[in-house]
Amino acid sequence: MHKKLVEIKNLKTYFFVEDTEKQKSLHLEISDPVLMELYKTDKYLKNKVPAKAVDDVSFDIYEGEVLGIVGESGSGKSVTAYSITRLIPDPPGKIVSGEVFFKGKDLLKISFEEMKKYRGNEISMIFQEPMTSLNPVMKIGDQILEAILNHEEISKEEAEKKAIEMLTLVGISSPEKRMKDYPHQFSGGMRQRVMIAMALALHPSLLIADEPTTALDVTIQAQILELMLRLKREREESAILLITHNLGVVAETCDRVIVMYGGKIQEISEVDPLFEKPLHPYTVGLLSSLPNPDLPMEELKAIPGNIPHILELPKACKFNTRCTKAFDKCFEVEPELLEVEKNRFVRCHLYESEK
Amino acid sequence: MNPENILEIKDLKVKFPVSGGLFLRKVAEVKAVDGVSFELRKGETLGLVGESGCGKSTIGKAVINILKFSSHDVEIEGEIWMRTDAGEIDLNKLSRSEMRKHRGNIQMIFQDPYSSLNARMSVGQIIEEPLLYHTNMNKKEREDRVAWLLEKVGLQAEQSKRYPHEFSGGQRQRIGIARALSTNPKIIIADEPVSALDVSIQAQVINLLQNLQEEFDLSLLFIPHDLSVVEHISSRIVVMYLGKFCEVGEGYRVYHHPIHPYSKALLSAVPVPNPKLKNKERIILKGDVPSPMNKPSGCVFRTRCPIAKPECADFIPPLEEKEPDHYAACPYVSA
Repeated sequence: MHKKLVEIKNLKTYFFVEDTEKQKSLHLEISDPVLMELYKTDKYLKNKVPAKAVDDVSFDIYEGEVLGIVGESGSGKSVTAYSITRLIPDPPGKIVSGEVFFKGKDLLKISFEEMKKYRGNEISMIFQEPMTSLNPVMKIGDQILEAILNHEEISKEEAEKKAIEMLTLVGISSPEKRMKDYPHQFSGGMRQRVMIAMALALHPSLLIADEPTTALDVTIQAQILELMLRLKREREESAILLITHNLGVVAETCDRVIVMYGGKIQEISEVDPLFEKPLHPYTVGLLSSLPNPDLPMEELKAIPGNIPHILELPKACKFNTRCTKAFDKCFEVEPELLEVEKNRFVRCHLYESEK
Repeated sequence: MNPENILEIKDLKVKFPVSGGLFLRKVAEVKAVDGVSFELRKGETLGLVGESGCGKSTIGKAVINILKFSSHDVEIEGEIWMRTDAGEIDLNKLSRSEMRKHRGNIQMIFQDPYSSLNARMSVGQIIEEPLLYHTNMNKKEREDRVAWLLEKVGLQAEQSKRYPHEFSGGQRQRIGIARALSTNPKIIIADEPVSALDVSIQAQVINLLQNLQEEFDLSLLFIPHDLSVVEHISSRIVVMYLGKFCEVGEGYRVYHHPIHPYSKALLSAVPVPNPKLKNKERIILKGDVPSPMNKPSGCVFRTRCPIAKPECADFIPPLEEKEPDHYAACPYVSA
């Protein structure tokens, strides 16, 4: 396998929300010394309780891979990605503890100014909404130029050449002319392609794509995914972190997959074994709830119950309220994320004996 | 009307005006739906698929007849025949007050469970409201019906006093379904009913819809966002492109053996949750859907079609029967 590009260790990102009722009993529950210290020193946290959006997450991103994070709303998949680039709005959010090593440097320890140099140059992001992530009153060309000129010491003419080159690369016809257009003159798919052009203009080592195709039609989705993969293949040492809820997209684009639920990683696996033999009951449920084209009209095997609210996550295993295989221990002890096979990690008591 | 059908639509056209210039005069029009005919058979689920802007939601809105009364200037031509207990009626000819009498028979489930429920009404009031307009039930009867409906959709009767914000997305969609069912409709139009829900909750709602369909003997016009769902739920599928039908046929045949070049491309673009099929043959269409304001002449798909010929610009291809009960609008392909 390739070299590690990013190493994330024990990342905890909490959002502090006001809840006077719960606050009263909170001090009994806090066992984390870092959090305790935080409550002592930070006056802002008075009357607030932590919503544990990302709770002790550790994983690596290797050079040259496409790593997928799947999960449902509130699972913490987006917050994990935003924590890497430190784009967590503070307040109410806070990266409470953890380390994010990027090429050997801990991004959580450097100054905000230094972080700016990493964004764009080294780590780029594509967001979900191509409609809102571009500035509506600025010409497309100027927006791409702004991105390039902010990060690179080149003349405007050179930057312009580069912008046109990027737009051609992402398949926008007559780019010189389209540079002078405003975002509303572009369709959704074209806007997302502009976003990709901007994100890749500075040749970042890591591209974080947060639901890049969710708002698009399937035909455009296929175009965009193919484009992203093609551009990645051209630069071997770069990696993509793809956040999505669509398991079809994961199967077709990712090399490795992280399954998240309730702010925790539940399973890490290479893509083929995950779909062939999912281990965690949540992954099993997720895959079997999809319509199977070979068995149409059959009742779908839905996961029972609802996703618990982030402030009301169960104790011990986060999935125990909906798990069909839960037994006593699942309600008492939080399972560890264990390596059950090579490169395969599962957080479930069912697999502990196998270790 | 054919006795097997509950709804027959003949040559439906929906035109939206485009105003511009100094006095906001009508300068052009968008034919969102451009002369389509189809039928909804009793007890079936008809899936309408296509990219955004193809007119699939407009058909749904035209059928339930809310377009005409919600925005003036929109022109709706054609016939929308519905079978009711009182005989066959052309919905497109009805006035606003006459339509109201029939809307109990035809109900809609909306896409966004967050904005389609009134936040200031309790769940009981939301489900009860259609009963006030469409039935003569007294208060006690209405309350019983609300409680019964809530249990039918998998909620508890006691929850009728609660407000929408106390429910999750999946539960809200259940409330929307209960509201649609309250008047015992014959037809339900479901416009992207599960697209706002998480995967594990989607399956619950789809199962619920299918069970209720059997129990209430509903005919469903299903407009999905996710094409893998449409194959699961639909008995027949219609593929649309720029206001026209490309292909109509039995669900399994259309999904697995599409005939029209557009359906082929659209369905091959659906990501399959199986990494082994990663390298399956995929037809990637070039470019975007043309603007509906200046559609290509002749066949509307010809600008993106992989097998387009110069002649395609000259005539509009009609739907032809390529195999029993399977129609496609392209003269150059066969089943």
